[in-house]
Amino acid sequence: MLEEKRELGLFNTVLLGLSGAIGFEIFVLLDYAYFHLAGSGVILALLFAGIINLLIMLSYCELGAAMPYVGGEYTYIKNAYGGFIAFVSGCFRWLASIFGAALAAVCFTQQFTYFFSLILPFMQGFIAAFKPLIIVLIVFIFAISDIKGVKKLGDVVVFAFIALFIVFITAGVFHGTAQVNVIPSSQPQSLLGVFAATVYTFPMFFGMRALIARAVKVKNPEENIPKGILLSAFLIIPLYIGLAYIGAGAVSPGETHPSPLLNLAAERILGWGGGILFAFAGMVASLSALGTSLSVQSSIIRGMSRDRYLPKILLRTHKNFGTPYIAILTGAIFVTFFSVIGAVEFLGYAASFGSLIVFAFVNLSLLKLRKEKPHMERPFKTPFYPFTPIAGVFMSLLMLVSPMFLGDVNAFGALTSGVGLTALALTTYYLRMVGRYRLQIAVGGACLGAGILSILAVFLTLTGVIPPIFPYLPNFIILFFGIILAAAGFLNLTA
Amino acid sequence: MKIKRIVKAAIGIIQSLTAFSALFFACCLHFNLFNVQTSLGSALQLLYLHVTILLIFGFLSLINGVILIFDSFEVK
Repeated sequence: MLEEKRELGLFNTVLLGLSGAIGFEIFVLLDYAYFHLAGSGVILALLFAGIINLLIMLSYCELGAAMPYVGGEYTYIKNAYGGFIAFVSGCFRWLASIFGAALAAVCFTQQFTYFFSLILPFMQGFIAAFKPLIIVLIVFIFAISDIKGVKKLGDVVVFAFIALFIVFITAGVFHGTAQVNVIPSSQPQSLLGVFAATVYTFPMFFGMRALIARAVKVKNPEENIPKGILLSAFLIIPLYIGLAYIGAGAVSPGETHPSPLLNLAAERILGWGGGILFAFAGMVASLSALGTSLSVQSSIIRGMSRDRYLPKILLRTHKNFGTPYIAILTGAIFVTFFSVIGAVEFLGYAASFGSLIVFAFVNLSLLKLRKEKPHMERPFKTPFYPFTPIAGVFMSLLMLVSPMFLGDVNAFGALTSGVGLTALALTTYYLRMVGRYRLQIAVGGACLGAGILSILAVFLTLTGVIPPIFPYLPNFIILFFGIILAAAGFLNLTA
Repeated sequence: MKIKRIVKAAIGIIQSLTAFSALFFACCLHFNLFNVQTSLGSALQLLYLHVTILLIFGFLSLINGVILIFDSFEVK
């Protein structure tokens, strides 16, 4: 087992949790939740999201204190369920990092545009036109700096952020803000909006699990990991609620909003300098998160490659810098793709998609380990067991699927993309682990069936039994597609 | 055997190309590239169903096509 020198005390452990949680998300996710989903009900939504996060983190406390080793969630799930589920959770964790990095890149351009709108207004149109190019440049600059092994921003940034947020909240209180209705009206639409905002703002909190990733460096982990997680959770909830309250008081939800909420609120409360300061803070937070996410994704796929789930080429290191350049570049390509085509709202949901599934698995692992390894040493025990982990699983799954039932098109798009990428990951797993021949038979059979179904659909459409499934595609194209599918499926089946 | 090998490679390549076309079309529909959604407006009440069907068929075809191409190189 990999062991490192344990050198982080309680203070540094709390700082680790805070540095994970305080990030660019507050700058970017609050907008959509406030202007489109819940209005001032976003304050209540943040409270709910914080409480749900706390509930899930209780399972992390127990497992983190019992297994303070390298690998974090991957280790817990592997201990409870073994290889396949650990592989799936690794994939979801990787997806969350990729979408998180893409969101950070988009947030950077948003803040960058705002920054220039304040200092050089005539450049705003030019920057807006070249946004995709800026994203590609930023992602690849960070990928190259990661390959060169450049160190990340330090803990000083966390203190700077906390100080900035406290100054903003205090100035907002003294400046005076409009009356904010924290409790939304009891109409179903308002309550559904609060619930959707809870799901959407949830990623603001769960960065604190970064603490788990470095659990191996924490001194006296049996005590400090649970304390660190709980203290950072208790600190972050009032801080974010305070920010949202002041922001909602300074900017009305009905306003047209060319600028991000917090930037606009800072500009109104602290003046021109406040807007600049928040834009700068937003850029620093985005770049820091982008760098961290690129590193995290590369460490995840290297881990899976080490366990032979993914091709070995991902383990290759740069001969000069000793860094995993193939893994970093692979992630950078995905991040660039999603950040160029993905809107903030889509990426917001997509980033939480993978994490929510991992949360569900972690809570399930706790349940399984309590049942199968009752004598395992547990320095911290989750209170109200088994209700807490069951509630953790339930809330994670509910938050995963509920935005679609609330009719949010971005949530459905994110889930579809997530399922598509997961299917791709599972195919990779089967190609590596099950062997190509069996996959060939399975896919061949599926293709033959799908081909026959397509040909049958064309026949039924032509005879008028069913309406056309793809009205804008001529029947001969669907027929051609069906014949190729059936023929290729047959060839694979008889291989 | 040589004919079987050529047929496998040809079908594999055609299937991979149709798979890429299906996936590209799914992306165009989903992200409204080239204003596809607007130009097909009236026919797109079931947009996500269409995107999902295209993605499933596309990925299935792509995997099947790639396996056929690999297989054609290995036929002795």
